[in-house]
Amino acid sequence: MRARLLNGPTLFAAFFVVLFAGAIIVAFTYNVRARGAPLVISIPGLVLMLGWLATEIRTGGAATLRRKHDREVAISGEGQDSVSAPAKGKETSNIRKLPVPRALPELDPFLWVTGLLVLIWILGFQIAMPLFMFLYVKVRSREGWMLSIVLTVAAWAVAYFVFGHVLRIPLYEGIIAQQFLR
Amino acid sequence: MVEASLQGLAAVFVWPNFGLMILGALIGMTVGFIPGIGGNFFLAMMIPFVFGMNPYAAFALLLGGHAVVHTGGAISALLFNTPGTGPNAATCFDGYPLVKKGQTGRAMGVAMTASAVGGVFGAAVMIGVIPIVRPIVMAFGPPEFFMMIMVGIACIAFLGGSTPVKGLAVGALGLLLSMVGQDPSTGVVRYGFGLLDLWGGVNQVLVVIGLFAISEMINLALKGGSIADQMAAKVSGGLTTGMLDVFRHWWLNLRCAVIGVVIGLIPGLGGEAAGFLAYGHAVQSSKTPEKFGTGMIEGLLAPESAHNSKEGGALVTTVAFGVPGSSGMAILLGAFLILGITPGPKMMTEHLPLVFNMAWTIAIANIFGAAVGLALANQMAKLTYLRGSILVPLVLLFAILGGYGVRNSMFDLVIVLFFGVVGYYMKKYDYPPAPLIMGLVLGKMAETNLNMAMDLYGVEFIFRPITFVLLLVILFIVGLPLVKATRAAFGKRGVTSAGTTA
Repeated sequence: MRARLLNGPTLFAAFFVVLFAGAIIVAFTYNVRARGAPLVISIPGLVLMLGWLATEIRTGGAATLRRKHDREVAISGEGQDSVSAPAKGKETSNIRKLPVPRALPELDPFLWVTGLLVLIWILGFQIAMPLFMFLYVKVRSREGWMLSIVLTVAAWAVAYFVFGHVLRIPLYEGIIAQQFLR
Repeated sequence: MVEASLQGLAAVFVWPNFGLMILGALIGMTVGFIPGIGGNFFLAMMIPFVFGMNPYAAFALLLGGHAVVHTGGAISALLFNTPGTGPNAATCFDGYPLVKKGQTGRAMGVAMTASAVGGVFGAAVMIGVIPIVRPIVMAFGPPEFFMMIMVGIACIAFLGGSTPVKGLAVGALGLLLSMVGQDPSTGVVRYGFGLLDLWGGVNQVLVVIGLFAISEMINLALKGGSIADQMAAKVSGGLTTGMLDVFRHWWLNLRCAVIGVVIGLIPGLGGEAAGFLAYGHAVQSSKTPEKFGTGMIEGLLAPESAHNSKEGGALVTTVAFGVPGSSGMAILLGAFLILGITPGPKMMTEHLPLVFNMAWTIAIANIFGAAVGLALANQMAKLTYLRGSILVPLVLLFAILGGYGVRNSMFDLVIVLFFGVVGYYMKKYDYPPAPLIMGLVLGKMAETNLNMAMDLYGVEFIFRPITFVLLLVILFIVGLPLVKATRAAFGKRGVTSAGTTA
């Protein structure tokens, strides 16, 4: 029973159910005219997702995984009129696979993306962008020094020249600059 | 008329007009390629430069660039799943899967050629419909807008592929998201949760960047490798195939270009609506709708053709009535004023060669933009074979900058991150992203127009002639698959019973 409830597809379907249910509850705090459209949308949404959630619980998430497999087969090229489809055996043998932690695999990229936002929030774009680039390429991906430095400089140049000077988009300076450097 | 048309054409090739058109097109494509900036930014950035120019030179620069912004946006949509402009979001749905299959050249060929064909068609229609467009535009009010948008929303049901329930639920979520912010009819802030940043609603560009670019980079960071799963045998070969694909599907291309022009003609609907309605139409009219989202050529050419043809339509109402057909055209009206030209019916008598010149500029800039895209396709295709360790931080920074550029707000980056995570799990658990974007784009327009229609005509608005015809179209769209499914079921039963009898 626990496996039927605590699997990705079921939990994600439950997430949708919670979203729609929450939208309905919140909609009732608005006046009649303002709540009309949200209710018209979220009540059928809730009914649909409750039905789908029941399917996921019944099959232990297998309903989604089976369809996903079918879709991946479709994307891999079967059934397409792929005139320039690549020849088999020409796959990129020189591609380096990244070191990815096995437990909670999504956590690693999620933390990197969140870390980028935190860096921008603290240091601002012009420092955070090159710093993130260097950390990602050198520390996470263990690329060579030369490539890491070139990409770091390129990231800084894009932030500073292209966005800051050519397009004149005022980039966020970060809380440190806002608090202490003014 | 013919003389004015030839005068307009000749003026395109006069120096410095031609050079300015080329310059504008190159800048326009670059701006389009950078996510979150878009055509309006291009026009706003370029308008100060037209002071003192003659009108032909000024419109060569402005329209030359504006016409190809979406062509540039298609390139980033294809290569990185990061649409350069809002309307390019629909390009991602089938364009990116095609690139993932290693068919980057073919995808580029389709996108560039369909854009050019759409753009040229839009310009041609612009010339053809100006004398007769007034009654068409006047016939469209809020009830007709609402029903037209509902045609697009009806197509959401077909975007769920093998799981229509998920497609509909995700579409409903998109519609719900479109209701975040201040309700235009009551002033109530819905789903604002006390956050001032949500009062203006959720910008679709942020959702698109999160849902497509960030989620894809999370995925790439996890699996390693490169965007293209397989090495293309020969990119240039695919390029020619892609170009030919557009002509193989000429009928769909033409229909989608017409959708784009009509959306352009109607003030208030934007390029996003054009792309999504065309995509929805391609799915709905396909014999294999379940394959959309897996790299269908039709799914790529439909939005590309529509949003480039839209510009010709949008320019008609701007030039002929002084009513901007899109937000970009509203900015362009500023250029008219700077140049001392008053858009409106007098344009058709006093400045007819200039009107034709605009149409020619759009057409030629589209061809030039597509040629540039095709010429660079081989080089750009190589980007999809960059290993993830390099591409992930590059695209992440690119996407984050694009997200920030929408409103210069840090809060927007939180929205991008949120939809990045949601998009990752949607992909992982096979929820189609297309209905969410379609719902988000069309939802707000639908509600606003429904409220206006109800205020003006009450429930009887349904029985207005165009509205009623559009209602029949919706019933046809929704009913046809049901009829097909019923027929198929009966056919199967017939075969089974025949087999049993035998």
